[in-house]
Amino acid sequence: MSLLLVLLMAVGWFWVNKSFAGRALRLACFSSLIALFLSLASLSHSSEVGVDFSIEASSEPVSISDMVNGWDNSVNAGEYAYASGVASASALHKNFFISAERRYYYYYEFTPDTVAWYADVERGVDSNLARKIELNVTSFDARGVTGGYLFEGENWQLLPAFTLYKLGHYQLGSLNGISSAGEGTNASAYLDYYFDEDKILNYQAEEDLRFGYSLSLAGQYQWNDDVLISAKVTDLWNRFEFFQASYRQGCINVGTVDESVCNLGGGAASGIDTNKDHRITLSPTLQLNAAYTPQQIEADLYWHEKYINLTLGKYFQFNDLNIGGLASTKRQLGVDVKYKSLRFNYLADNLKMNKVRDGRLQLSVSYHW
Amino acid sequence: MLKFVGLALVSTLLIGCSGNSSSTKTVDKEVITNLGGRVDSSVTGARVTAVEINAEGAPVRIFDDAGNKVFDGSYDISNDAGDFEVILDKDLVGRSMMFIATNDSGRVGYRCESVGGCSGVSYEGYVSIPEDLDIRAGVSEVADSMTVNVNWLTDLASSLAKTVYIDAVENIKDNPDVRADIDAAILAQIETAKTGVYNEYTIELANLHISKLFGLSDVIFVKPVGPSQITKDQKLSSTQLQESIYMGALIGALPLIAKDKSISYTAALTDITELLIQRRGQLLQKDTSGNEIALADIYGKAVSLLEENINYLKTAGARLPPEAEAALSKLKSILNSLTDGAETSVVVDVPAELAGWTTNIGKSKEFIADLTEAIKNFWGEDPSKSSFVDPAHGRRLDAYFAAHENLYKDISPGIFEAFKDILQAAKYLSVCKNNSNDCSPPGGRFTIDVANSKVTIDSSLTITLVPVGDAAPYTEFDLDISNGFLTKTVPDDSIPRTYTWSKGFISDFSREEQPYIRLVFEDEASTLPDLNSVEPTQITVVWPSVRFTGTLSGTGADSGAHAIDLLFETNLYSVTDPLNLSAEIRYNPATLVFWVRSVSGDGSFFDLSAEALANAAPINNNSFQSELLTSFPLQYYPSQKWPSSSEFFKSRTDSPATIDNMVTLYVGKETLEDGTVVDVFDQQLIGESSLIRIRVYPYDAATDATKSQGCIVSTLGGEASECSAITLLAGERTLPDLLKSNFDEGVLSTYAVRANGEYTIDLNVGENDTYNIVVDGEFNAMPPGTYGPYKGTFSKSFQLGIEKLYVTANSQMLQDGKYVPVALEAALQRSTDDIYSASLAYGFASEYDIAEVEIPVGQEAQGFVIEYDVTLEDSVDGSGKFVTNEIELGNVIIYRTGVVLSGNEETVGASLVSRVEYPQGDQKLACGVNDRDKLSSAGGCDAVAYLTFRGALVATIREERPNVFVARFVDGSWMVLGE
Repeated sequence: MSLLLVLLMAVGWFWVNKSFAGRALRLACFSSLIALFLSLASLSHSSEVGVDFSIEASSEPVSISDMVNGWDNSVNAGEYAYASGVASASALHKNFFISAERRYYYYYEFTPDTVAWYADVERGVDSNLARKIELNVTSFDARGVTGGYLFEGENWQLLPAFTLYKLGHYQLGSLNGISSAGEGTNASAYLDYYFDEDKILNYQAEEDLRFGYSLSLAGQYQWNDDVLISAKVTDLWNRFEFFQASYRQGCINVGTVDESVCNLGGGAASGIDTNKDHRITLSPTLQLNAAYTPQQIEADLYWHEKYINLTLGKYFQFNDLNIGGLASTKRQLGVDVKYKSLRFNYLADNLKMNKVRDGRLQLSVSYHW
Repeated sequence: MLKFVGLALVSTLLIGCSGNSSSTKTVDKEVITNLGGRVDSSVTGARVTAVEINAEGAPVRIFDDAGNKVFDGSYDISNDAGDFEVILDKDLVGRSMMFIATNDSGRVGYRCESVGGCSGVSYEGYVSIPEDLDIRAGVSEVADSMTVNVNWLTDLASSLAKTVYIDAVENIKDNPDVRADIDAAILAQIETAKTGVYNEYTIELANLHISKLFGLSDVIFVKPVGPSQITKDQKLSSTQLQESIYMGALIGALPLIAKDKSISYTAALTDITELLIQRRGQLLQKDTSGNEIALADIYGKAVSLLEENINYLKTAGARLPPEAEAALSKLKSILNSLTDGAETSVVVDVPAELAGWTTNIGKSKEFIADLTEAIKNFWGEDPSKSSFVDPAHGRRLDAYFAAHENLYKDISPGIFEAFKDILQAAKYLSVCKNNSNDCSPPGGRFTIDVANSKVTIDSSLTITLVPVGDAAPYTEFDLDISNGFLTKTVPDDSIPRTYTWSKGFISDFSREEQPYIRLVFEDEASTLPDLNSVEPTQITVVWPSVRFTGTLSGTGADSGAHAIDLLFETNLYSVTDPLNLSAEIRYNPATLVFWVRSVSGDGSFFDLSAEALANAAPINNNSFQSELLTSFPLQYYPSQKWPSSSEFFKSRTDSPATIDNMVTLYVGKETLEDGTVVDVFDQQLIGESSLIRIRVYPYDAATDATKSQGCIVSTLGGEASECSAITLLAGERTLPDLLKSNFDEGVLSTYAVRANGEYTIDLNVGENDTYNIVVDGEFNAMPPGTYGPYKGTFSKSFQLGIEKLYVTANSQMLQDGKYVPVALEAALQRSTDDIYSASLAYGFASEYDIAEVEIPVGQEAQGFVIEYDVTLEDSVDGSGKFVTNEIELGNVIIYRTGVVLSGNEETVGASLVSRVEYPQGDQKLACGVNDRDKLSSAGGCDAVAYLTFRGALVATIREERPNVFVARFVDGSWMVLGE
């Protein structure tokens, strides 16, 4: 039983990681952080301060809530789960831009086979198929400071910004192996795992410093009087360094498999824990927005790794209040409310919070002069 | 049981601390190993102790005669040259040891090596080290007559050994010289492994590391020569002398660094040690900022110290050995090569240095995996897997014991019939003794000899009534059973079975006894009371030998005639219910001894003398022995009249929730015959014929003690009829003191009502509230008077438990004319609920005679010993709160042959020791083995086991997640135990 427990913990260190992934959701609902915000649309102002809080989350196999709290029976095939949460405060003055932010990042990539196998294990169901287990996890939180300069032309603006991160908690790694059909759980898997808090066993070591660097680019272009195009590429170039990270190589063999994928010194579960410098690079995130002013229509694209979401919105103006109805390719419906410098944006695929698989929440306020 | 064994093996083996040897070890004739060295280059007066490393990876400490905690081992005091010599038991050769220099005498000093003197101490004088000293040198494997030097460089190594960083393995693919049997995946990219314990691997690595850091061939072996002593004959070769002078200069640098920083000698060493640990075994080569001690500081001081001594000695006209200049030159060369701000980059090639040991670590993992498999397949049901018994032998024993079981089914009804006959005979005799007209039992099978108080059954077994005591009246009567037999034929077994009672040795082998039954009654009588109307309060059965024969079938060549011999002894106590005096009297066993032996043949084997047995032709023989001492046999009211195994750990379900008028208390004074007036406290409990009194005598200043005594009284405040011996309480104690402490411990408000359970009372209830006995939960006072009767509220039921249990099973089956023994021994001793000591030993060996259960050795031997102790220890935590800590200590020793390691069958000896400690509480946390289901930990679970494989501590084991036990090895690798 204990070995299976270790394997489940290895697979599920992020599925059920309340203390980590759950933080992003709680942040979405309850955060009262005051952060300055610089929206793409506000680049035109010469001086501005603002706060922004935003979260983008998508989970293909189960709802976000289940991803945090444990799977139920509503499991779909899927290949990723993604969540990005940022709370920031920023200021723009005389084209100089500075910002401070708190960032949470989670990207889990897996095969549908892995999802099916894990779902069987969670349900206690014997598998009738041999499957390939592939799971990659990247998650961390960080505090960052950003500096940038706004370049302007007649009908364009460009803001390159460089962020220096101090990394907080992190869970990075992969699990690769096979499972076999038959009674009980039969699997062999190899674990490659970097961490600061051991979510699987209880290895405690002294880690060294950890930093991150990221270059982002934001800009907008006034195509003509009717069309405004805005774009932002986050992590266009980046590097995250974990010095003397706690590191585990593990080999887990549960039940019976035709051939074990690894052998790290005998036993059904074994490996080595040590400390090792580690470096990761994130894929860039593209946010693209096009607004057609005469019809008050906006199109919005969010793209990170396998997560792509295209949103269309139709807006209606009531004095200072601008309300938009949103629909997305992720079968989400939502609302975008803008009142002077305040903005509230919510998009979800289910009215029940605990059933939401794809969601977006954005709160922002700015002041400019 | 296997589950228990498995759990114990993987989670809790413990060792007691080895503190039973003397700090002044006696040297006996076997001690032959002399071992010498030098403390620093000249530390004098230091006690150097050669200390074994215990199974927890720490040097062994004991309390000396003065109650001080000291390192345990042979020791010597260093002389003025710093030299010492210790004498070791030859058994210690090859072991890992620490050599520790301490300042026990307070007269430790180092020689001043500075020509200009040292803070008031002249050149070559001795500078006192007033503070505590603890300078160590670790040796991974002690060799006979080896040199072990103890100095601050070796101390750096010993510190590193506890927090050692095993590094330098870049990638095994790039290192073709390493042994092929080292798993690449394990060794690849090892950078850090922190063990927190001393073991031979870390000690060796650390010594290598420090040797490299300071350019020495062997930091342990090189004997430093102080700069002031370089002209003296050191009886060293030229190469050795140069290195000794070089090292002596480095050693002499530490006091100078301490002086520069205005800190003590030991504080300077501590600073360097902390830097070394912080920098993972490295130091800054040079630090011009002066923020920290760098290698250049040490070398700089060494150079200046050696140089000034050379110049001084030259000036003095001394003949300098050329090795001094050479050493100085080397020091200067190294000093000049150091780079500001750069760290040293000492690398120890772990695979090359520890190839053999790393293989050992790998094999220990294979051993654990094999052990896990063997536990699951203990009896060899799957012959393709490891087991603790040869599979063929296991099947043979299965068949053999199955045949015994079948035989038991055939003969057991007859045994019970015979037993009933004996009881019936006793009843007939008791009736006859009380009514002379009724001495002719019906049926003719029982014949009573009234004059001689005998009854004979079937003319073959005679029972004789013998009162116990010199003269009537009596309360005890023996029913002696003559050597004789009863023959029974039961319906399901048409074969007549003969059961023979014989005289024999009782279970403690103290004497031979005729079989008998002793009956004890509450009331005195001139003869045995009629058992149909009066039941005994105690029944004792002592049957040294009851023998019968039978034929085993279906077990191949082991089939055939067998003789079986039983020993049966028991004490049964009666229990009545004081709340229902008409309820049935029932019996609990207080002790039970049951042995059964089986041999092939007619049973004459049993009667052989020890001498004859040694020369007798071997035959199959098996035995089972059990001895039981129960707890609460006088309190627990069983659910049936006669004892049954189902009564253990069972609670009575119909005890009342409350008992009116349960107890009455009395506080007063009693004047003794000698005129002494004592304070008394009486207790009258419902259903008890006797009242209990506690006497507290006046304080006796002469002895600084207070007498106390327990007595029996007939009425509250009445005269005592019978008293116990005087108990002396230290200091001045008064009855109010004792009542308060009893209240604080819950004794004053908790009472045991026989057959029902423990009940509590509220001391302030009813009329008693006027006394304010308890105020705000604290005991106030109980002035003289009568209190109660109090109503009791049910608190806790009684259970018939096990206080001591001892079970052994031995099997000696013949294989090719020789015995193949299998032995099992289990013991359990409980002092109170869930506090116990337990042990379990098992051995299987081919062609080896296990006289007693112990770890077997020899061909195809398999065995283990498990010991587990659970104790409580009270302490006060940081906030002054009273805390009860549960401590569990375990120890497992395993010996196995035929273990496949790296493809070869090998013999392995391994041990696990474990220590679990946690404060008791209700935080719903499980810790250790004991009471896991009760989640009785308040947190702070400290549980660890240490695995020693072939004499080397290779891993620690912890429960890192609930029910997930992880062995972590000294090379950083880990392994989850179990399934």
